[in-house]
Amino acid sequence: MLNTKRRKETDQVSSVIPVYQSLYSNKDHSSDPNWLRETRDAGMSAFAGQGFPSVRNEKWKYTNLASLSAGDFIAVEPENDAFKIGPKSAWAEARMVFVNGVYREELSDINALKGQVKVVRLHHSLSTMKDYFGFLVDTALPTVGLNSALMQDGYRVVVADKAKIDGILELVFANSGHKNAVFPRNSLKLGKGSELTLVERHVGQGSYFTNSVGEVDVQDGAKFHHYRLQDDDISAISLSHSFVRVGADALYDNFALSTGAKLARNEISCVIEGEGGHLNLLGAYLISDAADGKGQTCDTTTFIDHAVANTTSKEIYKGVLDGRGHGVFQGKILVREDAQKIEGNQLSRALMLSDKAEINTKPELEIYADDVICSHGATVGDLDEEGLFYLRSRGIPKTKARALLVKSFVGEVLEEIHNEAIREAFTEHASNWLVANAEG
Amino acid sequence: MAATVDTVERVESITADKYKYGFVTDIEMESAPIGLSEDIVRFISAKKEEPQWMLDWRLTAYRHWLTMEEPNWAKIGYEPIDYQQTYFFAAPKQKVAPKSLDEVDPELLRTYEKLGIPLKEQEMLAGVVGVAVDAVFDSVSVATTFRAKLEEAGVIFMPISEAIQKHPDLVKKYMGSVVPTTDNYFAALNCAVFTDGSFVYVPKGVHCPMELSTYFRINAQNTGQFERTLIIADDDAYVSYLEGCTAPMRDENQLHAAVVELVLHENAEIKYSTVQNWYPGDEEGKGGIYNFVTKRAKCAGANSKVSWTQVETGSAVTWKYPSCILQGDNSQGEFYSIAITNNMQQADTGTKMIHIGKNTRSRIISKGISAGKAQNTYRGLVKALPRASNARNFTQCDSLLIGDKCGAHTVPYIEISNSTARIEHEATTSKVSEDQLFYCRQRGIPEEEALALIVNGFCKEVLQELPMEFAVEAQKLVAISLEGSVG
Amino acid sequence: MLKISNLHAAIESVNKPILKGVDLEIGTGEIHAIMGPNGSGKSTLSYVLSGRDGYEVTGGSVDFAGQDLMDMEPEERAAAGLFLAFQYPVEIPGVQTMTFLRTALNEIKKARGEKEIDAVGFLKFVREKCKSLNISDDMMRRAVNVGFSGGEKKRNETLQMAVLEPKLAILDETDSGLDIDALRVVADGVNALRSENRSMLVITHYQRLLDYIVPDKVHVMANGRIVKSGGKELALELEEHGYAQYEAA
Repeated sequence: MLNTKRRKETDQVSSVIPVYQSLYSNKDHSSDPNWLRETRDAGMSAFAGQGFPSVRNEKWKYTNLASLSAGDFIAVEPENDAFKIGPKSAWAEARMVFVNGVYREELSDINALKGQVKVVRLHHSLSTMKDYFGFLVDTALPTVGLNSALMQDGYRVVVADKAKIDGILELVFANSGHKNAVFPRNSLKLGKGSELTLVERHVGQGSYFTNSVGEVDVQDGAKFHHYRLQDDDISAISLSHSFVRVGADALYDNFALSTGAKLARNEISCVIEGEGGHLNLLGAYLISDAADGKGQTCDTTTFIDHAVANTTSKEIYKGVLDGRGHGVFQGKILVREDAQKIEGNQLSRALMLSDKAEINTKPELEIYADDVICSHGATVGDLDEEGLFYLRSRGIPKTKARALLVKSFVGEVLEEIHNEAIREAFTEHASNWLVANAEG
Repeated sequence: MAATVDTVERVESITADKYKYGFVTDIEMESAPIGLSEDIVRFISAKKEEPQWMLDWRLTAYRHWLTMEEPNWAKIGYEPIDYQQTYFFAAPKQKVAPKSLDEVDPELLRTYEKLGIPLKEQEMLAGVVGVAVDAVFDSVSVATTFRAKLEEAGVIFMPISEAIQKHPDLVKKYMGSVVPTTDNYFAALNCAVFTDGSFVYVPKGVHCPMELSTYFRINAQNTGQFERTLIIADDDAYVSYLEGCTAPMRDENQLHAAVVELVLHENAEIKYSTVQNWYPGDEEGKGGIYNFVTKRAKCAGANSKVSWTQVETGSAVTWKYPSCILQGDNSQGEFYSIAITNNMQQADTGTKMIHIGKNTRSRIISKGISAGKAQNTYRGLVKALPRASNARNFTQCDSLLIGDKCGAHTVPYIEISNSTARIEHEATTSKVSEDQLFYCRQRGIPEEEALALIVNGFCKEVLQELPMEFAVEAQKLVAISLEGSVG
Repeated sequence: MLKISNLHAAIESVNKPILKGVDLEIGTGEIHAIMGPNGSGKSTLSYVLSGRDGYEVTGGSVDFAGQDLMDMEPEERAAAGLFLAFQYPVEIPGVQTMTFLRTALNEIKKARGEKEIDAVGFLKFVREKCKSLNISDDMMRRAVNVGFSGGEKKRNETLQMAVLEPKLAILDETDSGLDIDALRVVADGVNALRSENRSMLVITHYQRLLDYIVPDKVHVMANGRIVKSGGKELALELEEHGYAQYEAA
């Protein structure tokens, strides 16, 4: 090539970098052990080197973080006039609550789960996590780097080998206030042959910015059902990046239901490292107009690395786009050389209910082994006219018929939720959204 | 179809040599000095005795090219191209331009005969074979057959260099109207240094009476080929156009950067078929053509229809995305592709379907086959703009892997801004099934033939889109391209 | 015609022995049936005889018309006159049955040093075969087995057998997945292909197929060996008493 130097992303609003740099340098990290300070420094320099990714970055092609680049978010200390947190969900055995990124003991109840599962706030165990912390996480990514630099709290869950935890653990992340920035950091380890069901709920009030990072280690033979309900305020920006490792004969079963945020990105990077490992990445997003009258953006970006032979993955995402809603799905499946006998199936479907809606889909297969069965499918469309007509010819009014069809469209993927109570709760949440938004 | 029935016979007749087009024609050539500069651009333009406006257009493109960078987003890797070590113009020496085939150097006619394109015979078999050929040898067109017959019908089919002289208004109006000089790195380069290519104009209401075809041949060493094709189908016109490409076996890489522009007015239809069989390099990846091509069709008129069919078996590196701009209401775009990579070949190919008008429809059928240590990527974009109500797209992308050292990749982009658009995309990747191979072998069919049969079956949806003569050729190519990939 | 002596074979990937000393001799023009419970090694025997990958011959020998069968590639065995009617015929999308069969026939002819048949001649030849087997020739225009019903697939196998004219045909569970009417049609086809210089090996779990294709000899296979041989009456006995007594052995 004549000249291979890459174009510099000079269009990044550079003012944002010093804002976070000074935020970082003003924090007192003196109590952190050396290794942790090094991790934070590395994260900060990764962010400082790039700033928030621009749409020129292929991975962020469709999701524009320009509103973050203004740099007017300020990380906050906990506030007492917090967003009102209701009681623990009926299906939950135990609960941890984080308000504006910080654990709130008086709102939490983790005693029920004591014993074979260790549930603690990250803040307290951080300094002892040297060999464990961040080993799955790619701190070189700017948003992840920023989290590594500024993270203070989150959950840390460790399930003992062979422990099957029946009760469901509920994690509530509530944010409030104007222009607050929070950086939750979560760490989860399921010991060999263990099983756990965990639900994260993200709620809030205000135009905050949350940028969370999680690492999940599902060891050999373990099963982890990880559910996520993202119901952030429709003026908020909600970024989340989970890094998942799946061991031999292990299962990582993820379902994400998203209705909130002005701009949300749920990114999951998984590596299946043991034979017999299986992955479910499932979800639904229902979006419409954001608080500012522009469209909500909901971005689901997944990466599945079939690193070894005899591993399988299944991926289904369904989107309902109303108003000026903007859906993004980017899903990449990588099958490495010699990773034979792979099955990877991916499906992305979007339903466009409004002529102002927009969807961008990029499913990607990168395959270096021959004994594989991989597929992806993507569809975009509005409601099936024939189906609508059929229902109406049976006497069902148009709005009702429409609602029924939309509900069944989302219902197909909600059905995949393994846990019945959660399936019901998520279905109800989706139905409520439909009643409030799409029916009318 | 009958062509499929014939496969077996044809496959059997395949000669043992893997790339039978690898010979060199010994003919006296004249070249521009090596390298690239404004002077070279001027040299080419002068050589072609071009009008000033054409030279200005070239220079604008060249100056813009200097500000651009070679794209690096495709999944291909190759040695840097040294533009200063490439000849941008090479042509067989001839004293005066040949007026008829009788004046063409017999050595050239023999070359095309060896390539299976007997220019003379075809002229004689007028009405029987029914294919008019423009033969492009390195930088220039050496012969165009059937011109008189086409002229009767009002169809203009001539080398583009000649069209610049004879039909400047048409060329001025349309050249660059689909792929502008600033479009992309390789297109800009082509605009600056293109040497020849074919020009077709089919007037209103004319159904072109025969298939048109251009046969591209790179012969000279260290020479890039930069041809440019422009086809205009006026209202209610129809034309089917075929192109074929070959090159000698050489150890060093050679650059081919072409631009093809298709313009379709109301109710017009163009069927464009390619069998690309440039020299792919040897088993270790030495030599072969770098094939960087920009092909784009603009369905400007309502109800127009364009269909791209390509069989890509050659080249060391292929970078090519024949695209459709569906601007006219109810216009249709189709892309049928077979891309086969073996040994060290790399292909990054696909299409773009840009839905702008209402009720526009597109269909993409892509079959990628990867063997040896090759990498084969489908990259495509389906975009529906807000005005494209009721746009429809169907995409089927299948990849087949043969052997465990190759790669098959699928990168589709789907960008939809209209709620009434309906898009369906399906992609699969799998290997040739052991069960299928065994079934064939149990019936007495040897492994390589069995593989060719199965792969041809896998590609059938695309093969059947090709004109008959090409379909047979393509099926043979499928078999040859995969030689040595099993066992 | 076929002489199997003390044949041992294992599944390669898991190194699991399946055939544990099979002895069997089939004379020219004879029809033999092998019956046995599931997992006895019946289908493995058909795959080992036809040369499918994934099986390792660990002992014994197979002589086919004077040739060492185990030394040959699958297509060489086909050219030598061995035909396997598959239990589950494979679908090959995009490949017309006509093309497939003509390729097969001409490859076999080529291997035998015979003159190949052209498209027109082949069409005529196939039409006659279809007619004699009472099979509609529009099957020939469809892709190999794609979208065929169970009965059509088995009829297609019979037609292929008729076209390729083997010396020995192995019918692997030809009755599986067929209702009684379809079974009768297929059996009629097979019977039409009986001749004094064609041997057949019929592999089946159930006796009912042997009501239609009457064998000269019946063998019981259990646990990788032929454990009992007899006349056609042996099949009826098995129908009545089942395989339990052999499996225990």
